[in-house]
Amino acid sequence: MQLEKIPDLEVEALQGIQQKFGSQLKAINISKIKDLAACDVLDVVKKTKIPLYKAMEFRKKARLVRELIFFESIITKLTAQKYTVQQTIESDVETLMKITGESKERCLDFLFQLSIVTIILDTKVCRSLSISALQTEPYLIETPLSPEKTSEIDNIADEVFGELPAKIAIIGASGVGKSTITALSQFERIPEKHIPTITCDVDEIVVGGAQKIYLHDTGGQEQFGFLWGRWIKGSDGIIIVVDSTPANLEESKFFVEMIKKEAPKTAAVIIANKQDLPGALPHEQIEQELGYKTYPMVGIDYANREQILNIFADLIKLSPRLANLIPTQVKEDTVIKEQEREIEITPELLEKIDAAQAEIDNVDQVILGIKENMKAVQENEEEFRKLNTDLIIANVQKRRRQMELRALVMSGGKSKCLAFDVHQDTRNVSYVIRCECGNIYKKLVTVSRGMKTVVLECPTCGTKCEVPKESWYELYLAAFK
Amino acid sequence: MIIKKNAIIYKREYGETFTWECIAPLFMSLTYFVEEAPDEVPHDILNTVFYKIGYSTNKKLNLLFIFVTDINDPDEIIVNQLQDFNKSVSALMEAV
Repeated sequence: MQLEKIPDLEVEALQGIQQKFGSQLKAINISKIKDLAACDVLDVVKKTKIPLYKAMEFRKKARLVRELIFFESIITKLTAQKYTVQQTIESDVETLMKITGESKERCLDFLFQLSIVTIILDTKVCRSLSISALQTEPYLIETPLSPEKTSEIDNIADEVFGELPAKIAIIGASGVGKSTITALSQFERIPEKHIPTITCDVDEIVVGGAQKIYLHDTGGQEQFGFLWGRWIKGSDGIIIVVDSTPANLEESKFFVEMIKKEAPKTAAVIIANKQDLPGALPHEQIEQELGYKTYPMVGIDYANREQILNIFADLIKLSPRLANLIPTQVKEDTVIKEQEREIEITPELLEKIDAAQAEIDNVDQVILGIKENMKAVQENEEEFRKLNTDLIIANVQKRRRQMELRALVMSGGKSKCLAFDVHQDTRNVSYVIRCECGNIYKKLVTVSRGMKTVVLECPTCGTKCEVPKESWYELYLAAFK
Repeated sequence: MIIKKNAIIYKREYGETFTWECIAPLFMSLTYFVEEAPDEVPHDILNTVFYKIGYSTNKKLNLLFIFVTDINDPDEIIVNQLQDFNKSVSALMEAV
């Protein structure tokens, strides 16, 4: 549509003059038009005090009118001789002179002007055809909404699609440790001998407690080579695993080339596995040779689980909020894993779990009721404060019950109930203890290097409990046993 | 991505693997198809070689919602997310 708006002064002027004068054209005093068309604009400005651009525009229109009158006189003569415009353009000057009786210069001028008008009209027809073609053809144009509206939709999109699992493709030659890396990240049993992966395994892991990742553990044997390109194409990140041997380093250049060809925009890193073996190439050398960021790794060591999750987090650009939760996740998974071996789900345990869950649900209802009451009495400050206190107490109760439930589940119903929160940044540790008297209490302790033990006192019965500073983890385990 | 008539009014990319040029012709066909379809399309999923293209319409507001995702993503999740997105954005647009 913008094309149509481009001003075409000549066409507009001709159309405008035709519309404006039309039938009155013959009645206009031709001599005045001629005078005006030939006038000195500066003279006109002096005499009339109109702006210069107006005078120029006026003179231009007068010239056009003059030409139009001249045109019309010739066209009238041509029409009388049953001449069409097409014939006129094709006729030579001498024929035209005979028909119209005009001078050679005038006839040449007429033909020239006529051809220009024809070209302009043709151009206009072409333009209108192009515009209509653009309007009817499926032509997607980006016309973004306002920044405010876009931001609002961004929020909706983040909320809806935020939990979308990311995809990481793990590629590399056969036997370099791709499945071992996958098992390590999932905290599963690390394979003791090499069992080749057939085509590809897709596993789901959670990083930072919330972000799901699909791991595409591809078969490294050449017979599955036709699939590698396909797997890496849809991925958010690619990991090339190498076994840190010179032979495999050369072999892995093929995968680097494949990434550059098939998924050049996708983030990729290299894991230099088997760094514990003698003769393993340093990861710096591998990085230099293959051109991607390289992490040293011993995939068969569970202690490297945190590192592997951090690599995944870097690769998919995980938000710092979730990335910071990885150490806690690793510790918790370790505890759960060890407890799982001992847990026996009995009907009694299930009953206890149901009872605890029901209690939590009840507290939730109380909280909901308090919130509704708070809305109603917001104007009464005193009552509002009281309800606010009730709400805090109810929330604390809920949190206690949740912790109790968590410990109960993790210990297979044998626990004295104990939980903790570790705030690593401030070295604050929250210990949650169930005392002999049955009371459950939580205490936040700031631990320092000099401290060896932490003493916790039950606020109900005053019984003291001495806990080794760094042994909250052991304490946790011991409590379950 | 949200398309109104034949104009893309909203586009958001997660990750950097999306090759716009490969899928653009499909969008055009989809726009045509949805325009011609007499009824609302609550959700539908097209499978291409590398991507799944889920779409949903709001004929009242003349909107077409397109969600391109990996071929391995489960249809159930795509459908749910697409419908949630359609519902939320339509409510936002209607409020204007």
